[in-house]
Amino acid sequence: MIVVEQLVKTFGEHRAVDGLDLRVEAGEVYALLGGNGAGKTTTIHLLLGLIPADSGTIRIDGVDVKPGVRPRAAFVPEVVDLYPDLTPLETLELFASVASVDVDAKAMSGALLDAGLESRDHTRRLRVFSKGMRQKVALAIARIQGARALLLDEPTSGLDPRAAAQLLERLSALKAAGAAILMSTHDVYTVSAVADRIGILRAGRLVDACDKSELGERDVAAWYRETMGG
Amino acid sequence: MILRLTRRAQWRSSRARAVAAALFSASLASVVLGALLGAQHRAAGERDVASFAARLEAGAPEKNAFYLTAYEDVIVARGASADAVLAAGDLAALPDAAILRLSDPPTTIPSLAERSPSALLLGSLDFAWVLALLLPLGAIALAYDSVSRDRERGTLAMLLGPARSSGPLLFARTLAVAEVLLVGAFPGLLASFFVDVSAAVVIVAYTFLIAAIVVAISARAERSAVALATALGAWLTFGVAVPLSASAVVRASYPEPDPRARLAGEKGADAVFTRATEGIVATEVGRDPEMDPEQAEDGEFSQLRYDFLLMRERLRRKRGARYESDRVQTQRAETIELAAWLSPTSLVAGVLADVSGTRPLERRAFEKDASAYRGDVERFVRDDILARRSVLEDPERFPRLDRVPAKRRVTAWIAAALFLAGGIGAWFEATRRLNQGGFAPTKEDA
Repeated sequence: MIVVEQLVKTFGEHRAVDGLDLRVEAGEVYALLGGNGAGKTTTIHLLLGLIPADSGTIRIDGVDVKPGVRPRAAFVPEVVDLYPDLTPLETLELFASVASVDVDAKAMSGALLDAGLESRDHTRRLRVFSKGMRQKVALAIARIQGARALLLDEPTSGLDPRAAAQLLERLSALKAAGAAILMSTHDVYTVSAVADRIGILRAGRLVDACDKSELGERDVAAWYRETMGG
Repeated sequence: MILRLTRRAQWRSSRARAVAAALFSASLASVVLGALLGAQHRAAGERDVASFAARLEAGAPEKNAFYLTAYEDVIVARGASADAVLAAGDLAALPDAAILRLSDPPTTIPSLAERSPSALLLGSLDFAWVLALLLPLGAIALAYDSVSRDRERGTLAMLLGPARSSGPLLFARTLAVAEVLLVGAFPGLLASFFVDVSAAVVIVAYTFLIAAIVVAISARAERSAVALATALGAWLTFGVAVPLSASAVVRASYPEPDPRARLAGEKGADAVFTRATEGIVATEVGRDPEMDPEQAEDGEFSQLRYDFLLMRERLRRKRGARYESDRVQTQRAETIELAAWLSPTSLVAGVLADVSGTRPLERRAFEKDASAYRGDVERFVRDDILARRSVLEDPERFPRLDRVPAKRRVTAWIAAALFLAGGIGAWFEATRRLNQGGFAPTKEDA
């Protein structure tokens, strides 16, 4: 579970996150919609403990995030750029080791297969992988890291429709497995397909939020345009 | 596990192999060229020995049965046999009344490296300088973006998001970088091992230090370009500017005493320091009948030069001169040694020189011993050789001064401990910053 209360982060005069409150339950996907500079990436970095918050509280899977204390949360950046001279299996082994997770080769192969990466690609170097394939490796990493919270930054950006659809399938599977998933995105199609809750972020403030079910027949894109004023 | 995979990723990259190959080439070249230079000196010495033996057999006067050979700025005194190396000294220091050294074979001439820029690359001991300057550059080329690149691309957040600490990752990266550097520096490392094990330990500790510093800079920098600029700036500052500035300040504070001042007022003193003319020789022989210019031949057998050396010493001793310059020289050497501790680069090179006994302070200490030795040589020349005694058949009778090793290994161990502590400190600080969310905001954040 992810709980954020009154989160504030400023860079100089610029208030990147301004009193943000949000809550992501286990087995739920929360989509943060917003334009460029809305504070989505900063929010994710704050949640990961990669930059310190000015004020507010962050609690992920029972851990209060603060300087020196980071949550056990997996992260998938917008552009997954792993180590080109390692294979997916070696990459998973490295990431599991850094996260102090004990995982065997069979589990790693299983995670890669579940992420949609075929067996013959498990021992090829990442140097030759497409963006979509690297994205799959990133999802496998998130799985073997054993984190119960998953944070994704623009996960479908730059993916072709087929790769994007495969990614959404994997996210649904992770959700079903009980992960609390928070993702930032511009992509209302992704939101419609996988999100349970949606928040709209503007200038660091959550200007509107709702369950997708509350929208009923309304289109996510239309709601977003209305909220953002056109 | 982290180290194994970090090493694997590193060694598979062409950059690591290129850095290792470049360092290896430079290190190997310096050691090989140093060895060749030594071999060249030995060969020249052996030729002289053979030539001299031929002269003896041909009935050359026994009174000159010792000779000096000049190799560029090095002068070697030999007896009749190949083993009978009487002394090896520094020709450039002759105005300081010759720092006579006894070595066998006389190929380790520290002053050569200290005085000649080209010798810095060629001297057999000077891999220390090559390593001290090139290892940081290799570390920068290899690892300036070792953490910053991951940060820029979000990989660091993936790695450290669920991690308890960034410490193991940073430590593994530091060790992996150090490993590549040490492989590159292997020829120099091996050579230093044969000088003294403490020299090898110093190089390993120094490598760890610079690897840790570069990784820490990369962990701290907002961007890889910033990391590169910071690392190069640190290298230029602490590897080049600080040693040069310290040296310049020391040299300005303690100017090299003019050796001519020693003979100020002496008739013909200037000519003594410039070139040997028959007129000067005749003048000096007039003062000291023991000198025999008839037997002197300038050139391959530099008897004449040695005569002048003895002559100057006699003049000096007659006057009972105790020179102010001695005190200044000692202060200068001590200050240069202290200044070296301002820079890891000059420290490692200095410590290696220390281990091999070539530090300025050591040379000053040796000079005191050599002063007594010079007296012995002078007496030996006057009482034995010039008195036509056949002592040259018995090399045991030669005055000997075993090279004072003064290998201050303690300094080397202290430096190694400092380097290790510094490396651990850099690693600890980088870990602390990353663990506390010390990431600089990215462009997207701002």
